[in-house]
Amino acid sequence: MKNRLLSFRILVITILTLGLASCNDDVFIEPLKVSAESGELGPDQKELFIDISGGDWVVKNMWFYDDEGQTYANNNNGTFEIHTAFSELSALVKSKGLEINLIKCLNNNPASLCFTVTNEYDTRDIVVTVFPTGSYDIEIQDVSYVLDQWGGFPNEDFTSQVITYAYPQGLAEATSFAFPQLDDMPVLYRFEPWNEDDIFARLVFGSGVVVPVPTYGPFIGDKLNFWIMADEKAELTMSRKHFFSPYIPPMPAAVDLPAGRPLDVSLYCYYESIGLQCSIKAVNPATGLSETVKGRLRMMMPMKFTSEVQFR
Amino acid sequence: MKKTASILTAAMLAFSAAAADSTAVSHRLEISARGAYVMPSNKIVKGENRYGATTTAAFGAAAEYSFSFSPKSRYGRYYPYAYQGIGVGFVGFSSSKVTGNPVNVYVLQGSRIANLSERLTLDYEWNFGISAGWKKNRGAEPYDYTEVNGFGSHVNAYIDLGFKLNYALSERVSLTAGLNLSHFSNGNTDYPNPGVNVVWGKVGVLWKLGDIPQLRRPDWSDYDSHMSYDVTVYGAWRKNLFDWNYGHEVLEPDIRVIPGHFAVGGFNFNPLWHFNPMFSAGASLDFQYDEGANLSPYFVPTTLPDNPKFYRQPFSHRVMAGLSVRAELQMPVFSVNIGIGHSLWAPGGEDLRGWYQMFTLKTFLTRNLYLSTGYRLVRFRNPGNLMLGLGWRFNAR
Repeated sequence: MKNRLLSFRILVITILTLGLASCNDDVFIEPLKVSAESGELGPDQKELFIDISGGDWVVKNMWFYDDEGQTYANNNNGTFEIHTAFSELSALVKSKGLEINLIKCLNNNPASLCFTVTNEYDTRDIVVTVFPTGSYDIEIQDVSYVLDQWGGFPNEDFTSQVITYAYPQGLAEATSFAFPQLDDMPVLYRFEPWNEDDIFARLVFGSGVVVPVPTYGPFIGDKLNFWIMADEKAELTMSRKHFFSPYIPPMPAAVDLPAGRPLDVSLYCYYESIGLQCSIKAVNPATGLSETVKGRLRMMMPMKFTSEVQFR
Repeated sequence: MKKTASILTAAMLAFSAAAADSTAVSHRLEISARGAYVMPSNKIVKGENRYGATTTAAFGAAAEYSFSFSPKSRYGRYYPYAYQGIGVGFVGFSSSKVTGNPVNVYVLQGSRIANLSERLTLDYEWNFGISAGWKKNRGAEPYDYTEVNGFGSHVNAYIDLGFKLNYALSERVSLTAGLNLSHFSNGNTDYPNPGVNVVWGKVGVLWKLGDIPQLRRPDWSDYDSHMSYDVTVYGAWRKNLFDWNYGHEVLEPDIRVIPGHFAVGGFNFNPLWHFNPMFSAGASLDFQYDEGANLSPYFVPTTLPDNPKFYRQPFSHRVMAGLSVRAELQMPVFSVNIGIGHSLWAPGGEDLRGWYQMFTLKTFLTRNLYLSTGYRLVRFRNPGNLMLGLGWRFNAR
C-alpha cells in the first residue's frame, strides 16, 4: 500500500510538473495600458498621476507646446523636466505610472504636454492640457517702421470683386452710373519676426497688443510721402488678420450704361502685397529688461478700384 | 513524446505488478513479419516534401511477449482468452527519406472473437506505445510541406488494431496471419504532424509456454451490472495555430504555427453503466483548458508572424465544457474508452466549440486508480491534444 501511495504521489507530481513546463509564456505579452490618454492640469489641479502597465514600458518624446513654441523635456534619470521662460513642469516615472507636477504655466492660452508611452510592441500617445496658472503681459514701449522703403510681393497681388449691381431686364433709359463712395476697406496683415526661433520675438509679435500701423500716404492726400503714421492701429499677431481702413483709393469714374440691355456692373479692388520693416521695443517678462525685436509688417493693401460692365 | 515514454513505462510497471499479483499460467511468445501499404492520407507521404519522396510501402518485424491470467483469478474467469504483454518491433518505410525507420515499443492486449474450427480462431489485438526514430523536420517552416524534411517529432505515438487468424499447429505452436491498421502521430505536440496510417498484412508464429489452460467459457456468474463514476484529471502540451489575417474579411486565412508549446488540461466526470465485465457505457461531463485556444484575435500586430506575440486571452476564451457519450471496452488491467461529444459552453470562439472525439486507454494501477492516456480529436478531423492523467473509479467492483 505504501509503495502504491508513493507511486501515486510521484505520478501526480510528474503530471503537474509536465503541465507547468508546458506553459508557453514566451509568446504572451502584457498589453500596454494607460489609465487615460488625455488629462488636464491647471491652477486647481497641479498634480496628475497616469497609471501605466504592460511589460517594460518607457516614456519617450515628452514635449511641451505653449505660446512660446515647442520645448522638449530634459530626462534627468527618470524625471522629465520642462523649464521655459514662462512654464515649469516635472514628470516623475514611477513603477506604476507617471506623476506629473505643474509648477507654473504663465501663458495666455492653454498649453499642451505631450508624450509617448511605449513598450517593445505598442505605443500610446498622451496629451495633457495645461491651463495657465497665471498670465504674462508684454509691455510694448515703442513701435517704429522704416517708412521710406518697402518691398512688394507681386506674386501675392490679387483682385477682389467688391460689389455688383445687376440689371437683368436692362435699364429703362441710358444713364451714367457711378459707384457710391465706400466708407472703408479691409486691409489684410500679419507681423513676421526676422528670427522666428527667437521666443521673445514670437511672444511680442504674437502678443495681441494693439499698436500703430502705417497708412498709405496718397490716400489721405499726402503726395510726398508714400507711408505715414496716421491714426490707424492693429493688434500684434503672426496670424493673418485684417483691420478696416478708411483710407482707400478713389472710386472709379462713372460709366455710361445703355438702355434696354440686360447687364451687370461690378466694382473691383486691386490689392497689392507689400512689406514694411518694423522694430518693436518691449519689456521681456522673463528678465524684466527692455529688448528690441525686429521684423516685418506684411499688408495686402487696396490700391485701386476699377469698374466693369458685362452684358448678358 | 519523451513524456509519453514515461507514461508507457509506468503502464508497463503497473502491468507487471498486476501480473505478479495473479498466478500467470500461460506465457506467450510471438514473432511476426509484416508488409504494409502506407495509406496516402497526408501530403508528406504523397511526395509533398523537400525530396519529392513518396512513401507507399513498409515492412517490419515484431517480437511480443504476453501472458494470460490464472483461471482461478477474477480476471481469468471474466476474460479467459485475454492476453496482455509488451512488444517491440521495427518498421522500414519505402521511401524512408522523410519518415526514417522507427522502432516501436508498446503494450498489447488481445482476446478471442470466435472459434472458427477446432484449430482455427479469430482474435483481435491492440497495441499502444511509442515509435522512436522518425526523422525530425529541421529548418523548414512546418506548414510549408514543400520544404519539410521530416516530421514534428523523433518519437511518435503508435496505435494499432489488428484482427488475426490463429491456426494451432500443436498444443504449443500456432501460425498467425492477420490484417492490422496502425496510426503514428505525436498528438499535435509538434508540427508537422499529419499522421501516418499504415495497413499491414502480417504472418507470425506463436509459442505458448508454461501451463496451457483448458478452453473454457467466460464465467460472469458473480458479476452484477452496476454504475461506476470515473473522474479523470489530465494535462498535456500541444502546438497551436493562428490566423495572421484574422479580422481582415477580404483576405484569405493565413494559418501560421505559434512557436513553443501550450499547456492543456482538463477533467472528465464519467458515470458508466457496466452491462457486463467487458462493456460499459455512459455520458461524461468534460471540461478542458487550452492555454493557446482562440489566440488569433489577440495577435500583436506590431510583431512578425514568424515570431508572433499575443496578448493573453481572457480565461473564458481558454476553457470549454461539453457533454459526451462514452463506450468502454474493459479487459484485464486496461480499458479502452471512446467518446463523442459536443461543446455546451465555449464562450471564447471556434477553437473549443463543436464536436470532439476522444480515445482513452485506462491502465488500472489498482481497482480504483488508473492512468489515463488519451487523444482528443476536434470536429472528426482536426488534431486536438494528448490527454495524460490519472483517474479514480468510484464504486469500482
